[in-house]
This record gives sequence, structure tokens and C-alpha cells, in this order.
Amino acid sequence: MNTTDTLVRKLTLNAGIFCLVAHSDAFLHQVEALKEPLQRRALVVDTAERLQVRMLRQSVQPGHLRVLFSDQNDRQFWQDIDSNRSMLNENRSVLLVVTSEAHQAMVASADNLMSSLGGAVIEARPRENIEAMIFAGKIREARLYAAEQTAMELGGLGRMLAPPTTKSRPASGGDHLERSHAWLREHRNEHRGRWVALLGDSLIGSDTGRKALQAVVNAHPSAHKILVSWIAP
Amino acid sequence: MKRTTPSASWCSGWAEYIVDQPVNNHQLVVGVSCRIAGLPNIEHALLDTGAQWSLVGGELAELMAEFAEDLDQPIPYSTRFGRIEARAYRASVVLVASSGEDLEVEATVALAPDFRGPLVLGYRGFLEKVRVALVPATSQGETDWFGFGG
Repeated sequence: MNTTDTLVRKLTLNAGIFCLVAHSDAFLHQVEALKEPLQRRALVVDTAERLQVRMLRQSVQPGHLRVLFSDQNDRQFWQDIDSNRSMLNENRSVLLVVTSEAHQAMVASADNLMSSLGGAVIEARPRENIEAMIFAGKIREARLYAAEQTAMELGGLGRMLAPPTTKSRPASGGDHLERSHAWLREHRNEHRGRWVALLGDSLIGSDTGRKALQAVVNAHPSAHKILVSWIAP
Repeated sequence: MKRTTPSASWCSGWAEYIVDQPVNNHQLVVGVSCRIAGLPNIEHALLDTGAQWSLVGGELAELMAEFAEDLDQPIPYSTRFGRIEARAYRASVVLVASSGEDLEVEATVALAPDFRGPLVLGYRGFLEKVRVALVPATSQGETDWFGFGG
């Protein structure tokens, strides 16, 4: 069960103040997935405004589960939350706060807030953070973060993010390749939507299925010189 | 066809590249020659610096999966046809030279059996550590050269 699953379960069974500490803004993408299941169970308030925390005091209705999403992180915001936590708890309001690692210090610095959160703090695991960064296309950030984790925590992610390595080998191309290219330029319109296998300027085979053609190629004594190409429809 | 290979100090290998027909929105695509893990023959791949990851689809992905290291990770991939389900593998891909030396790249590749397009050599996990050059022919009958080096 991943962090988001755990969080949904806890939010729908309980109320209170929850704090989801994420190490990257990329994790916000995953948190977006929380909103749909929660919206079926609760009034969900999205906020980027500190004022809305205060508005909760006025609009809160006892017995209603309220979920407040926010990525705010300034000290005043946390102090507002801290001063309102009794009201939020009593009225079954749930505060879901998404913050980045750099802002974790803000959470800790808010008086009494961490103790009131108690065991409800759910921290995204390193793997989930990295997957979220990859999903968001932030590969450089993911690599930097992964470098701080252990191999056991990373699993296959470490290999996935590892930069490619290169080494030279004896040339395996040659004139046969250029002759195959010449054949393609001349004949490709006759084979659109098919794989073709060429040995120099000779067509060894063509097929819409790659596996069927591969069997022909593998059995050929000069397979290493054969060029296989897909011709777009 | 003139066979004079260009020269560049960082280039370890040269081979002809082929420019495909215009496709759909009139973009030309560049095809280069490579070998992929476990298969004896040479493949044509699209050189695509705009692709986030290298991508292998269809039955070729199934063939390659037998010889590549499964990293047990989903890999996000969006194409112009929409989002596809892909899985990350680590595999050897060799850029084939007709002059100089081949370049073997241990790369991260997305395998997506449901994708019906061509083999794509993309930026992350592959091109990001390979120096490449395209030297187009300047007159009819000349060769379009693809140069590469590690």
C-alpha cells in the first residue's frame, strides 16, 4: 500500500490534522489523485490563501468532514493552523498539508503543531518522491535526490536513473548498409506499414509482424549484416 | 555516391543516416543504424532529441525484453498519440559505424508492447551522454553522415 492509499484510508476513517510531508513539489502531482476519492466523502477546499484557514472558523459545520489542501508554508500560515487546531479537530476538519523538504523546518518551528499532529504525519517514501519527480519529467532533480538514498531504498530506480555509459567496439557497418538505404529510398513506398529485412540491396523478407520476420533473420547466415527497418504507413 | 567521411576529433564513428518520407504533419524523421540487446541484425531507429526516453514498442519490445534487464519500474511516456504504458529496462544499444568504431551504449529504455511506432533513441538514458552530429549532403548523390562519440 503506497502513501496515497494509506492517506485515503486514514482520512476516510478518521478526522484530524494530517500533514503530508513531501520532498518535492513534484509530489503534488500524486496528491492531486487524492482529491477525487476524498471529494466523494468530504467537502474539499483547495486553498492558496492564508485567509481561507480563518474562513474555516466561520464556515465550519460540526460533524462535517472537511479537507483543506494547501501547499502554503510560511510561518504565519502554520501559526494560524496551530491556533485553530482545536476547532478543526472538534469539527472533524482535516487539514492536508503538502510541503517540500525545505519547508519542513517551518512545520517544526510552529509552536505545538508537531505534537498536535502526533502520529498522523505521513511522509512520502523516497521511492514515491523519485517516481513523482520522474513522472513530472524532473530527471535531474530525481538523480540528485536518489544519490542521497540507499540502494535498497531505490531498487530498480537507481539503475533506471543511472546515466548511460559508452564504450567503443569494432565497426560492424559497411557498404551493405548504404546499399540497404538506397533500396529503402527506392522501394519504401511499396512496403508501407511493414517491417523489411535487407541484406545490402536484397530484400530478405517483409512482414507486418516483427516476430515472424525476426525468425527469418535469425536463421540467415549473414544475419549480422541484415538491416531491419519499419516503414511507416 | 561520394564516400568521403567527414572528420571531427570527438567522433569515433560515422555511418549514413536516412531521412524518411514526410509523415502526417510534414515532419521529416532521421533514421540511424543500431543493434539492440540480443538480436543479431541491424535496426533502424529514429534519432529524437525531443523524446524524453528511448522507446521500443510492439513485438520488438517483446523480443528485446528477453535480453534486457527488467528494472521493475513503470516509466511515464507520452507520444503524439497519447500516453502509453511502458516499463523501464536497462539494455545494450550499439550505434553502428561504417567508418571508425561502433559505440556501445548501456542505456535505459522504455519497452511498451502496445506502442506501434518505430524504435526511438531519445534523450534520457541514451543521447544525454553521446555526442552526435548530422552532416547533411550538400548536393545530390552525396551521403548524409551521422557521427557519434562517447
